[in-house]
Amino acid sequence: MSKFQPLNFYNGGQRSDPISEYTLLPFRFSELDDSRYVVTNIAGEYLIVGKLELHSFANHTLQSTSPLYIDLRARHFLTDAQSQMAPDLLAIKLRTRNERIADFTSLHIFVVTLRCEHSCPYCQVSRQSEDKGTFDMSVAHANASLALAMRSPTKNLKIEFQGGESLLNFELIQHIVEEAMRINKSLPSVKNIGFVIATNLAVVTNEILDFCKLHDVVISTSLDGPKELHNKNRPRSGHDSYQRAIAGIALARDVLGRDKVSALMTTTEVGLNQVEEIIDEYIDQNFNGIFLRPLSPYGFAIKTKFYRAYNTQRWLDFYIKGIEYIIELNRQGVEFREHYAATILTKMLTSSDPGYVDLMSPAGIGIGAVVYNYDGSVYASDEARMLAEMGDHKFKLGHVLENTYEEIFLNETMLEALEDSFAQSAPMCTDCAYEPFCGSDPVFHWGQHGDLVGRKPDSEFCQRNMSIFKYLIDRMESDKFVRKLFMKWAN
Amino acid sequence: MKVTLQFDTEIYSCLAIEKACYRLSDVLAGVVKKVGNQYSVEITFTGKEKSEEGIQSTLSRLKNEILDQNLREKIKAETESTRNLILAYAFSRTGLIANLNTTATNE
Repeated sequence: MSKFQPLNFYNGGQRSDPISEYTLLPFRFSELDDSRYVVTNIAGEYLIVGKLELHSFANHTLQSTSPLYIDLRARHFLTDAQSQMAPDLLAIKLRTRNERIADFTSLHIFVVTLRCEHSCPYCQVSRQSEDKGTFDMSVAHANASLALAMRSPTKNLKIEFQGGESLLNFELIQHIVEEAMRINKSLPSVKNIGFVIATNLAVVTNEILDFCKLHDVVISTSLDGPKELHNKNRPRSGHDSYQRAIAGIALARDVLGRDKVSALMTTTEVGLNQVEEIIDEYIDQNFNGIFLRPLSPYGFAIKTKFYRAYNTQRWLDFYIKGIEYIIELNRQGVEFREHYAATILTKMLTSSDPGYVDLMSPAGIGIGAVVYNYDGSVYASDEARMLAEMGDHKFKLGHVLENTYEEIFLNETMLEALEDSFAQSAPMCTDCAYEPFCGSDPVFHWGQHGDLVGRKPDSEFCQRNMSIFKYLIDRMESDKFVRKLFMKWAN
Repeated sequence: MKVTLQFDTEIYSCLAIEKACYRLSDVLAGVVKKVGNQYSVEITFTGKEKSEEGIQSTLSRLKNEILDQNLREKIKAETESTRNLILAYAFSRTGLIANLNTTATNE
């Protein structure tokens, strides 16, 4: 008697016919190019399949000895006599991917002032230059906002201070940080609270940074690229925005440590031809990555026509040129990453969801992030308050002094937007293989189309993200080095 | 310019044709009617491309998209019970369903 099973055992138990009986598991497919589809299972794992092969698979005529069959079984696209556990495993992966939803709101943004000493023409929050009394958040509003934030069921709370220029109201930041720490000590279950100050660093001082060091507050700043580009994008009196940002980054790193300071850039038309120079600037300043970010259609970016200065395709050309440059840098031994791609790759290549608000389904508004505006109004997202400064209060959830936690977070507008933002049930998204990597942005679509779902064939959000998904997958499939690099970014 | 395409109701689903028209709604508008055992789709081209070559290319995209959508419908129907089973299991121990029941009872 043989010690080993005969070959046909491994062929799905068939005696002579290599086509075994298999059951399809739920999956979606979308075209990658003329000859290939991307297929994703219910947990978001993907495979590339030839068009003819997909039809063969769906029609139950795929041979069980083919490499594709083995891959499809391993990634839970089918179940057969040898893989009965697949539905259970898929359920566990799906639950892991969605576990963040149960945490509810973890990011709480406090707009401590709308005043700013910069006058950036692309400013998306419509900053103000005067009247401290009108555009600064009051202590009463801050306390009421904090009380709401501390009621969030999440164990991990992030409080982010934004502006205007948030450091122009640093006294209030100090108060909120200290008060949050005091309240936290009295909670039956202590939370892990992280603090972030979004600042251009132009007015940062040693005293401010000493306070940050004491309370483990991290800094998120703006750096648009080389000196000339940065100063053109971000004018201020003295024409020294870049010099102040660079000096501020050095000082903040000195006091807080290198890993406590991050930077964001915004793409303007004048920067479209400078992606390599922008990346070089980040490397020169010793950052380990960059977030290549398009302008959003809010605030002065709309008023000054900066938003319409370039279309989605031009930005995509800029973005892809940037990623190609970063790949080459890595090939030469320079470790550097692009953060938006890394976020998407985490969704593509792991079972976890990084919780990036724009790429969440249901949408991240309210349940991923919430904004307490300087005047006590509560908005469902940062973009929602930007829209409000343009006169559209669609996503106002209430007021910190007038509404309860329940009234704010069960607000009809928010529930409607959340219900409509399940990408799984939106037209076109419901059949899209890229949906597990994507999200829903009801505020963007409301602002652009006057509709929470938006018309996907005309949606810039859809065009931009679909192009990036296809590009990243195609790049991984065609280059082993890139696949290894992207795996590193994802984990 | 208008073009009418016919699809056998035994082979194609109306939903698949409607979804395909929606996906290409940036370049065409489609109206679906049932005439006997055929779906009749009246297509008006709304995109910038009006040349004969461009229109034929759009029609080819539409036909391929209808084939894809038809296959999607088939897969969706075949995997429906498994999909529901996985979803039910995935969210069965999160507490979310219990909370919903409690809310419903309180109301």
